Amino acid sequence: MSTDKRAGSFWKYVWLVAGREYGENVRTKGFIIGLLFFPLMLWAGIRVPRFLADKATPTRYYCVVDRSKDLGEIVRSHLKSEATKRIDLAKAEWFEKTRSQPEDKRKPFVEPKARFVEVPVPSGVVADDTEGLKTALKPYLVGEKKIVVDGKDAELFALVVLPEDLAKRKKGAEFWTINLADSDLKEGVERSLEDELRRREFVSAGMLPDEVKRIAEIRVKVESKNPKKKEGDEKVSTADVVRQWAPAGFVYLLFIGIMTVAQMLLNNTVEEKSNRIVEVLLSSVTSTELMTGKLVGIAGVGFTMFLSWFTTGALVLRLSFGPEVDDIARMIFTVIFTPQFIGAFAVYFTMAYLLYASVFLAIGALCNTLKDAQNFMGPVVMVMMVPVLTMMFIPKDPNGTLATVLSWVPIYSPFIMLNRIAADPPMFDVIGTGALTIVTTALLLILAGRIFRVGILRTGQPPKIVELFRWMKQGA
Amino acid sequence: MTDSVLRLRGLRKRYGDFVAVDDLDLDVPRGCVLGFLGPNGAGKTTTIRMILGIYEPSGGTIEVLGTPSALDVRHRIGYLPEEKGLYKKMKARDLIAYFAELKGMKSKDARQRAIELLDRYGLGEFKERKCDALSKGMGQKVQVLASIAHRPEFVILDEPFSGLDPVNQQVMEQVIADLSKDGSTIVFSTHDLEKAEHLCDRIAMLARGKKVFDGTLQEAFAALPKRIVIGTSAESAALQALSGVTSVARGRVDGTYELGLSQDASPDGILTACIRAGHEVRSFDKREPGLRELFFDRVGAKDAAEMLA
Repeated sequence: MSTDKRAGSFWKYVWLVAGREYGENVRTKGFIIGLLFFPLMLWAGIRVPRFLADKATPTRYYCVVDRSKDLGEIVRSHLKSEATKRIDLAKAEWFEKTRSQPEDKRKPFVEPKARFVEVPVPSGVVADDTEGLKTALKPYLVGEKKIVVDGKDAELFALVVLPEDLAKRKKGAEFWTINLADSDLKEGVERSLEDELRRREFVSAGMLPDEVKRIAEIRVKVESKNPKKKEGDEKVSTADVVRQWAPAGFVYLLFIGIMTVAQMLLNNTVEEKSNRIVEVLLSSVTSTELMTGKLVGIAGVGFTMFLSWFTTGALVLRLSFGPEVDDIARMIFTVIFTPQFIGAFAVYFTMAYLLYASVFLAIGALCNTLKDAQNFMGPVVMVMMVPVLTMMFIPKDPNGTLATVLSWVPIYSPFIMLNRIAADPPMFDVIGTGALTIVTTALLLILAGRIFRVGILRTGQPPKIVELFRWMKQGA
Repeated sequence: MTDSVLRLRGLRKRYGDFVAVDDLDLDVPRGCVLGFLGPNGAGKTTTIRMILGIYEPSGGTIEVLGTPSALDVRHRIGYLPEEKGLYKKMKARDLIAYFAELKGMKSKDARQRAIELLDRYGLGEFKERKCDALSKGMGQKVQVLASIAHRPEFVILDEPFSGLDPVNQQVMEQVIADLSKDGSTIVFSTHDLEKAEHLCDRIAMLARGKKVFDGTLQEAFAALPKRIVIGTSAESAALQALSGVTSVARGRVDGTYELGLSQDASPDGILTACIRAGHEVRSFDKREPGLRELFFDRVGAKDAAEMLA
């Protein structure tokens, strides 16, 4: 027979409950899919735009009808120099990537596909004048007829018409296409025409062509500086911009994380209540042991989720580094994976988790069905939405009135302070709001514990507000 | 002072104006099997929950295993609630081991014990099965095993037979018999009077929150008014006039009467008196009293009929 004392301490039973909660929740399909989904999204977020830029856009073919005698050539040479620049850049990227590899193992350089290629007017098209030519080319432009390039059918993307008096009138050029989204070619044509016609005007006004060239090549760069940074280091880099906005991402992550784990807490509690397992549990452990065990177990699930997200996220970013110094993946990586950000995230997640978990546990203890629980959840989620709605405004004025005021609202404090973290908020705010949140959380946990104790065994309809206050007193 | 596992004195539970349990006294001697009987709403489950410390009593005292609160000795108590539920995603073995661990068993012992129990009660091949893949009866067995895996000295089972098919009821009876053989004290609530008569040493009956009987089976039968059923040509007034007859009611068969007798009257004496008075006697039947009769007698015909329907 058993001894008189129950074996083991409070924490032994807390760990038992926590272990079960943890095991059950990390083994669900939904959780595992969630873990994989995040790095996949990140990977896609970096890769897809690059892929679209590199590969997915087909080579586009266009015709030029040049009645202006010489402007057609100008346009052609400009477009050609842009294409060359693109190839040079790709070559530099290839060189950077393969530099460290032994020569015989290097992948050979493959020239990227040309974006725009001029083709002659299709052989069947005959017309006496420009108008006739335009009409004759229309079926090709709308895709009814195909042009033939290297023996294969292809679509005619655009028709560029440069009228005879273009140089004189400075207008009348036409760009025919049904694709309004890809405006790169049109912009290229415009730029080259503008440059050339301006150059001619300057020259005719008496300037030397070399002088005109020199003036045309003047470029002014405006440097952003941050007065808060150290002297000599005030220059604002792209990394600084990323750094300013990264906390918004963290806030979003925090919100998703809290919602996910809080939902687990709610579901499990309601399940135990609705099938009355809770009676057996409470004939074995105290309600405080049960509640603490749940809090610890689900917190473990949350930390597992973030640990996995951050490791896989770091891995994906690391593998996605482009050759440029200001490559977006590299920058996000160096900005995010600092002790300041990760540490702040861990601290504020713990705070926000305990705060909201106590609310969700109390709701779970009040409800017998998930439907009841959802009725309670509605207002809570609405309240929780505020930091998500403001997360894009806070970084613009991280130490402004809105940010400061919201920071001192305990239920928003973890979110808003995390949002402000890049702007090094005043120590007073950091410590003050932190202390306030901890006190509020402790208070909420005590109240939730009382509601939990009374509510967890109750069946039937959820209680009215008045009853709730009575429970808070009664459960003491 | 006898060795009582459970001692209730003046136990009360009120919900607003409704009195669920009223002034209940009860002693459960160590080693006995006590059947806790009563119609729905009699207060059985409420009493059990108060004993376990799940509900706070409105008044009275509870002494479980020598302590005022079951919470202090919860590791020595096994409990099967009325509404049966399991963690759907847990394997049968893990679930039994988990609940045993919550009762203070070491992890290794708990797992071993879980396998041993599943094997013993014919669930060995389902030990790796998740609970939501078990049939209802099997799930219920798993839950029973989970509640006794830690070898409790005091076991409380709330309606252990409800929802079980005859085969599983047999297994449940075996579980109770085995527990009793091992020296556990068992309290179980039930509607099933036959089961109670068959399994219990003692009976406690509850009706509308009040105790209406408490004692051994022998005491229960002795406490019953004696009854005979007699087929006779005599009028009911004439039967009423016989000494020792306390009540006369029409029997189920035409021309028969059911007679209630006073404690000191003997059925044979009534028969003799009847014949001496010149009444024709066609049939005569001594009714063996059972729990059913006790139940009707103590709970009242309406509640009893409702429960036994």
